[in-house]
Amino acid sequence: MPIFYANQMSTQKSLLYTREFLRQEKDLTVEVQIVVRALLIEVLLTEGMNLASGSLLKALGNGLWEFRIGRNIKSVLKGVGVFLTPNTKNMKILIRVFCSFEEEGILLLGCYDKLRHGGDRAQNNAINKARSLLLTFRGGK
Amino acid sequence: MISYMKTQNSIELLTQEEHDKLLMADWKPEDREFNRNLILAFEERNLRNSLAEAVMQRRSSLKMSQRSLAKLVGISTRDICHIEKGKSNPTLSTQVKLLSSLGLTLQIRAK
Repeated sequence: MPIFYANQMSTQKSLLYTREFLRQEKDLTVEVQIVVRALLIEVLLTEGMNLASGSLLKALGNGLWEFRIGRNIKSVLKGVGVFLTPNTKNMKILIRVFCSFEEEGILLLGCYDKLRHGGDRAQNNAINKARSLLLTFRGGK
Repeated sequence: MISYMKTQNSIELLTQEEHDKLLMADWKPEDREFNRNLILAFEERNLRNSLAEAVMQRRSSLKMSQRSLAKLVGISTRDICHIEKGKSNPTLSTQVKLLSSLGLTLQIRAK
């Protein structure tokens, strides 16, 4: 069944949140959740695939992409032109958001906290899970 | 924000509003304040970028150099360069002088 946009006239793409993405996102600390949410709306959604020319977006193959949020909160935000007040907490952050660019919008399939879970093996598992979700999504069309 | 139907095959999709409601349910007041500040910081960035684009496009269409514009406004060429890169936060007074020199004006309107 095709996804139905309430506003058919709009050409504005939207973020399509899967339950799995939300489940993994809720596992992050609240400060990180806030930063990730803002970056998804203000950077990934507005810049889209243009980000692939820099270091923020990397192709993982077969339509799966990795939105890379790294180093610490202040430098991540500074990198996209946002400056916070000096007394803002500056935590380390190393998140990978797995997504795909669909006709209907940007499908968010999962996110992975490299600081908390580390290791290539766990990350590969997260990528495989996202890949499998993507296949299910595309299989439904 | 656009809303859409919830399911695609066996995958349940959430609208931005549904997602935000579930995500923010456990946020404390200080978390909500950080979120508000971050949204404002992005808004400020977007305004800086709009100013940068407007100045660069207008200056370019007037075939004016950064140096001559800087002289007209009474600021340094480096300041113009930073404004056009969205890296500077000029005062309202500088913005008015700058835009006026380019035959532009600031407008405030409801969202």
